[in-house]
Amino acid sequence: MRGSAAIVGIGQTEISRDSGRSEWVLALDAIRAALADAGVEPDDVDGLIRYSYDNVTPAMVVRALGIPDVRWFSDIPFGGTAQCGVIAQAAAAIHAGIARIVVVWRALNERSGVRYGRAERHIETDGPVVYAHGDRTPSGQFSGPFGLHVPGQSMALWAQRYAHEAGLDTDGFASVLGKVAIQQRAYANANPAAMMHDRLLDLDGYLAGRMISEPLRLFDYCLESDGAAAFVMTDAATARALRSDPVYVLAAQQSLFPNSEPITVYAEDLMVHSGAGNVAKLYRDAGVGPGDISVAQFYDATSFMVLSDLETYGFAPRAAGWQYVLEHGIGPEAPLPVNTHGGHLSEGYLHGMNHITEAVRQLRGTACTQVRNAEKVLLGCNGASAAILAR
Amino acid sequence: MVIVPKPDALTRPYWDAARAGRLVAQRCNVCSRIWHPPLPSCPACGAQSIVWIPLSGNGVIYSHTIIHHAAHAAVADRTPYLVALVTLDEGPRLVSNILDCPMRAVRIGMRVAVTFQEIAPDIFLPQFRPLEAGVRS
Repeated sequence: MRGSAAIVGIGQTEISRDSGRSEWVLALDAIRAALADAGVEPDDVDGLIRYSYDNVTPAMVVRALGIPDVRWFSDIPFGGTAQCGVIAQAAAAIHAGIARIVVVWRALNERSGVRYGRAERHIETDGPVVYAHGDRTPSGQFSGPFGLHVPGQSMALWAQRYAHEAGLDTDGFASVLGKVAIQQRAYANANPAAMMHDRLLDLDGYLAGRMISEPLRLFDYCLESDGAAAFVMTDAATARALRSDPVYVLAAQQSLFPNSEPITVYAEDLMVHSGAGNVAKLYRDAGVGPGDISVAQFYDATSFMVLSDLETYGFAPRAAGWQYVLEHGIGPEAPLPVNTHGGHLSEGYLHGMNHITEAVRQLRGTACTQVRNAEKVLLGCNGASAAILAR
Repeated sequence: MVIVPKPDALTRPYWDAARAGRLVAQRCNVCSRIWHPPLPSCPACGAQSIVWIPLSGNGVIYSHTIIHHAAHAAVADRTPYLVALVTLDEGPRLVSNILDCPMRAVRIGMRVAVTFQEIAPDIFLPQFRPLEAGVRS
């Protein structure tokens, strides 16, 4: 599949705390922008993919845009697992000849509407009784009654385990996580589209952030956002006919193994979030190694996930990602710049789709903080899904 | 306000046992694998012959977090509170609050034993507390 499909269009709305518009409108705006960027008409679209969490259905998009003949559409479950899952499945459909021009979107009023940092949507109140049901972690019957309710709390449990295995004390861990959050904020300060564009952050400011779920503080967490992003993918030949700078999919994957659901607490080893051999296959499929990666966009639900991702994708050994960050950083001059748009921590939270649009900008040479000679971008969500894109 | 577990067909034996003061988990009758949360068949060999067995109730703290920011209105008056992961001697992992122990004394690697907490009339949660008397408050 290597290089047989390419992204030819990206679109993204304003990212805000209150869009004042429906998710349907946001989705259509992002999709229209991506189609215009690709130079294709709605009539040309024959494939659709969305995150299964999205409230905007394929039928709503087909109806609103008047797309006459969609032959293939798909829903990809989870959040971070969907991030590169949408890339993998769009590329697979194109490679297989099932679809030729595929549109992918994610639209959410996640700040003004249903907030993912709240658990009320999963824990039901029935009169005077509050029930935790199902076995979802967090918030199901085996975690909800104990007060484990949202992914950010599960990640705090991962992070605390990490600190233990890495031998980091509270202050030492804070200095590492703070370095990630501060660098991503600096990237956002250079990105006019970022929610935190005008908000500076230094170590004092980071440490002054209130504790949310120890060891994670306020600025270790992703933002809550309203907005939408979309991209258009097609086969390599069509891509070259459409534009001079297609962004090719070298490899893409999703991963599940027992108790690996992205926010689980049941996996035997919570330091590992990728199936055995999965990352090796990613690099093998792409025909590259970690040393070939110019830029990484890591799914940063929390700052901690950057450390974890550095280990997952072969840039640092187990429990040593923190040393890598202290030694090299993740800034524009680092061996591996990470989350150059500001990421979920400081640009906004579009469920990783804004990491994909940033990856494309880096490879086109149009990013706000452009990495020189960016040739290959790694997208990764802590082992749950990943992709390598190239110009 | 408390959040109570809502048992389903698969999980009812677990909560019924907790009400009777017993910690149980599913075990495969064919290969003897033990697991939690409950599953419809054995994750190791696929057998559907499953029995609920009593566990020792002893384990070790795998991780923990002190939660300062409530994510559900029902626990807004509980913050800060501690959530821990306990890996049982038999292998399964459970979510717990650690009772009879100051939050700041909870450590990864600490040995703990099960106890049962009645959070609402006739509704019991398996909880854990330190085995060593020294760290209890």
